[in-house]
Amino acid sequence: MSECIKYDVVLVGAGPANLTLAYRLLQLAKKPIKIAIFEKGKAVGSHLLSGAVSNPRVISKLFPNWMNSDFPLQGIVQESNLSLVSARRWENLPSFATPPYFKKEGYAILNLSDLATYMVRQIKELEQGKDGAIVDVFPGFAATSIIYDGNRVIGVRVDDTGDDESDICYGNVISFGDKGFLSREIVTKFNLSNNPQIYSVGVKEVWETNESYEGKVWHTIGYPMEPGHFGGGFIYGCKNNKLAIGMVLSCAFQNPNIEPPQILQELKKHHYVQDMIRGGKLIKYGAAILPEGGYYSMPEKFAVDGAILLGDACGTLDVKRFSGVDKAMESGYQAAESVLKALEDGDFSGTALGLFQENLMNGWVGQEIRNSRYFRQAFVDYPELNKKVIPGIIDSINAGKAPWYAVMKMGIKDPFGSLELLNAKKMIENPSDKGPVVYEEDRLSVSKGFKKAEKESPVGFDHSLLYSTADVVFYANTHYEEDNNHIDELDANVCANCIKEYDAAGYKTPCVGDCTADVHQTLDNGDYRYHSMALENCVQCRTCEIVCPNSNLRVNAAMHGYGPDFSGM
Amino acid sequence: MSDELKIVVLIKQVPDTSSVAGVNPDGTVDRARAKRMINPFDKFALQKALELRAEHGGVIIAISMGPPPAIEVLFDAIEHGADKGFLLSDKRLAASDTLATAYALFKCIEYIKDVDIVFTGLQTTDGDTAQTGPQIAERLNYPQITYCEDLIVENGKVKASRIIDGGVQKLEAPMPILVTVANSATRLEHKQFANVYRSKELLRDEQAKKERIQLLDLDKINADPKKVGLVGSPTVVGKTWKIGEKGGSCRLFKGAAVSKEVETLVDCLSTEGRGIEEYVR
Amino acid sequence: MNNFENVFVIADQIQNDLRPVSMELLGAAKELAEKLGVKVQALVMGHNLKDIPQILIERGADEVYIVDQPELKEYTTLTYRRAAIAVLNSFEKPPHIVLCGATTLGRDLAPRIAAYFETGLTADCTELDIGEYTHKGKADPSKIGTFKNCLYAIRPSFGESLKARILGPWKNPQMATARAGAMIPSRVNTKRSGEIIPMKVEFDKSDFRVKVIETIREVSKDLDLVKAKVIVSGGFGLGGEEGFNLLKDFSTIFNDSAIGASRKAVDSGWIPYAHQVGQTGKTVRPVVYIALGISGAIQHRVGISNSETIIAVNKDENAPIFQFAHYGIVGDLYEVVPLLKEQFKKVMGN
Ligand SMILES: Cc1cc2nc3c(=O)[nH]c(=O)nc-3n(C[C@H](O)[C@H](O)[C@H](O)COP(=O)(O)OP(=O)(O)OC[C@H]3O[C@@H](n4cnc5c(N)ncnc54)[C@H](O)[C@@H]3O)c2cc1C
Ligand SMILES: Nc1ncnc2c1ncn2[C@@H]1O[C@H](COP(=O)(O)O)[C@@H](O)[C@H]1O
Repeated sequence: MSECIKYDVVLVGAGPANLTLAYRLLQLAKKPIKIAIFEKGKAVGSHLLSGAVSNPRVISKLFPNWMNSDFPLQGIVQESNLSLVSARRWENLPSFATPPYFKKEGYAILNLSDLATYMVRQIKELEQGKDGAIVDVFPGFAATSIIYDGNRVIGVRVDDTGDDESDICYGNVISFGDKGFLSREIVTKFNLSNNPQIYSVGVKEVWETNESYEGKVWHTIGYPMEPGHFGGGFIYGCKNNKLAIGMVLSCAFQNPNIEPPQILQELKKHHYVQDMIRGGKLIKYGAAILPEGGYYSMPEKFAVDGAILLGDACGTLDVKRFSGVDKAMESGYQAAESVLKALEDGDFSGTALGLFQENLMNGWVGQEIRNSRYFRQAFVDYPELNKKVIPGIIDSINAGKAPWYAVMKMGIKDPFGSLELLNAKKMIENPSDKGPVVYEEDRLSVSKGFKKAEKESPVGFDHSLLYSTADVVFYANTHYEEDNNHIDELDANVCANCIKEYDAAGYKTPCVGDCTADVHQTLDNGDYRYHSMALENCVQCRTCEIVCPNSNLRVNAAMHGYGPDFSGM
Repeated sequence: MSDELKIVVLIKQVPDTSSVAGVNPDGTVDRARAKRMINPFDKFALQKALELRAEHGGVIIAISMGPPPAIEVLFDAIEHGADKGFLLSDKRLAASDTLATAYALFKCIEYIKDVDIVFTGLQTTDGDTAQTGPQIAERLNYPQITYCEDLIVENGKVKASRIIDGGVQKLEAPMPILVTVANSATRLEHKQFANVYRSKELLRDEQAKKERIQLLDLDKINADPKKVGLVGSPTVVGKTWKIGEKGGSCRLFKGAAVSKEVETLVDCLSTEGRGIEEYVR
Repeated sequence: MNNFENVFVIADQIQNDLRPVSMELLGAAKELAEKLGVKVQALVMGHNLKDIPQILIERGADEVYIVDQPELKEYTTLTYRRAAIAVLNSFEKPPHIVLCGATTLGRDLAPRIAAYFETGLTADCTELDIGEYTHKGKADPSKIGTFKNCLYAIRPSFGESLKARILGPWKNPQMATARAGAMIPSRVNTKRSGEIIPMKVEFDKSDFRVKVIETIREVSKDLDLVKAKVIVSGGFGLGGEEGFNLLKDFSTIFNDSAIGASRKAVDSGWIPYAHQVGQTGKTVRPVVYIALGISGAIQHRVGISNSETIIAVNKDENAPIFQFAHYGIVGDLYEVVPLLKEQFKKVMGN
């Protein structure tokens, strides 16, 4: 009896990119349109995690009245700090010394899960007011694989009853906004990029504090980052005495045992942070990855026959400006026109669907991403930046020097004054064209030979404000049932060998050492040590897949709404 | 005539206590702000109903009593495969205790007529009394099986096993009957995509929606307003207070000789009415 | 004080074995009756009850009503309901208070009785008391007034984070079920005397609608963690598999006991997963939870927070377990446990 289930547009993932597409499609559509939104989280927003301080430029386009409505705003940035942090000291840079892309005054402080919930509500309202418009939201249904007809994407599998007709949702256009669970497959299958995507992992805690820090934000450089490690911290003051504290850590680092949640605890040991959270209460914890490759990791084409890639799935995030939300939204905004035209013309070829690529890349998204295109690479080409220059500045801060002194030193004196480093500065700030750069996959930088540097740690901190990884994961509110096995270990022998090698080197394997949720572990069965997973803890960040030296792990989209509850993140 | 069954499942919407939204600093739940969910115990009841219908055919009618948003749990039930939903919503029901709730739900079941089996959850996460079911059975003059783990219908009779303290009991009973389903019974199966899709399609049609989901009030089910709400509830909640939170409450013995510490500890345990004596051999 | 308005306890017996909750109910009933200046009445139903009525008297009942008929050999809702209602209806005035255990029997039977009398019933109480209550709420004017000698039925609510006092002074009997293990049982007094009043009940054909085909009682020695009254639990601090031998030996001094473990102990392969307590293991609610060498990570904590008493032994004074245990000893568990075993036997052993 079952006929196949088909929509005009099928959205994989209810993130800001796809939701903007849906909203814009409804706004523009002149004919009936049928849209399905699949979200693997139990509810829309429950798997969304971000900072998030964002330029509200797309939000104000979509919802012109947003400032005076029930839009879930956490605050507007009044005070934006770039902070140089050492174990003992914390110096906020004076405004004149702060690079413009770190100045966030006037930006919106958001919490992404609330934003998504709000957007779905707005979409449903538009649907009501529009004849023939249908938007079906399917929270708890993950797209788990892609259905092709030859080289054309025609649907996604969203259930596993065993009967194709009931398990597949077909669509004329499938929009992937999924941060890698499926979109990587499109990029690989259609050979859209010969430069791999590279990632950072972000960990974040939300605290309820005694005092309100609403409208104040800090981005940190220095402590507790290991010299040579690309990344930094952020602290965003939200309304209702909420404080978001996070670290963003590149996966391209030699250390096989980054322990992201523990680096975050290190940051929390700092007296500056301790003073903010003392007497407060941890409310939430979560982790997610960020694609940081930027311009050169973006696919050559944003569309193939029957499908488009949006937002993080397309790599629109700009690490230099730490701007992902607005660019993801803009990609959805621009794509709406191509998708509508394709629907009108009945032409779902990659060429037709990809018309928005030009608009997007000619507009501010393209300009900014292009402007940032060597930012990440500068830290690869000039490792001294991370290994010496920044640590040097931080040391002088630690020794009590004023921040302006440290910064001056950065500009005039050795070692930053060398010609080479001036080149690095150019790559960061104002790139001239050096031609394309090629990244190596994150997992290739992980090294068993890594030597951890001696690090000074703050003293006199309050232990009760810190959490072990096992404890902090509790605040991600993960929920799974017995039939969950969303991470594949492809070959057990590969894992056993990997463990042997890392044991010998005195390290945990990267999957264990970089896990954000105490999922991976090595156990002993008497004869040898093997890899095992406490999947019930998993927050679905995909870090293990990214850092596995042997590409032996695959994180699939978990079904049935299993996973963390990031509401309020 | 076939052996098709008319099955009622009672489902309550409760605050989602796992999410922090809407939990006041004092631990109480702000129902307006809290996220809502289907009472987890009622999912086992719904699963039993689905299993029985798969075996015998018939209809599953989900009933919920609560404020208008409670309609969400009926959508949920329909997406899981229930055939119909009835929402009993009436301002006069506010502050009903279990006796009054049971009366109102009993009137709903009477209104639906000719029911074979009424399934309820074992208890709710907010009321947590486990008594609504038996109280409805008493009004209906139905036999009941509480703490039911397993149930089949054979030759028009119910064969069931229920948990008792220290074991299980196998029972046989006629219909109509009221059954409260234990949370050790089969878990509710996941919603199926095709089912959710079809119910969304169906409920888009206003006419079909009206037939599938009906709104009831006290007048419609012919219930006596004096027997519900505050007026009809023999109990009220007097005062509430917070149970001693963590910290400070631990009596810590340290520093002294271990034997001395152990002695003092056991002394405290025996004099402070902890009820441990009974379990020491 | 009106002599008719007594405190009435429905005793819980299985196979002519009085359940501990019955003694607890009598303990609570005695206190309530003393405050009210009334008698404690008990009802026991079954067949071949033998000395049970006498035990009820020794435990504090002043009058024991017995319905001893073959139809009541096995508990069924409708027959027991008939018998209990018949006894309560035989009084000129209903009792002031009727108490039942919050066991599978009490939770099955009490709501039917309450619905029959259309009276209030508070489930799962952990404390009972008598006091005055003034109702001011104007929503129902007929309820306004000050009531003396109300039953205070006190129970946890909102997932155990709050306690609530439930009142229903407008109609008698005021009913409550009491959580097993929550009240202090009355002590035996063989010198007490009381009246035993046999009752005869007429059943209706409809009372036999539900037939018991078979009753299977588990006699398994390895008690289920979830049902255990005493849980002796070990964590990473045990240092190895052998540690659990010490725990097992310790647990032999308790009835209804079971062995628990933290996830770290299970992950280390010292004990099977079935013993794991906590978020990813079992949620337990024993009378006593004895945590040995367990740090008290939050995942573990959520699994044991319903325990009535938590006793922790840990070397580390800063271990989080001491933040929510009721009693704690800072020390080496290998030193503490043997002493603890001795002392428990000495002070509480029979
Ligand atoms: C710690 C951290 C801090 C950040 N801070 C900032 C900041 O301050 N400012 C800023 O602008 N950006 C920030 N970002 C980046 C920003 O969050 C992202 O760029 C942005 O969210 C991308 O939006 P998106 O719609 O492309 O994808 P996402 O937001 O990742 O949304 C994807 C959605 O798809 C769902 N999904 C995935 N796979 C499937 C599947 N197979 N089936 C169904 N559903 C699926 C997911 O559950 C999710 O809801 C931060 C990111 C992190 C991790
Ligand atoms: N308002 C309600 N609407 C529908 N069903 C209810 C309601 N209240 C209680 N129930 C049913 O009665 C069972 C026991 O509830 P309780 O007595 O509150 O613990 C629940 O599991 C439900 O099946």
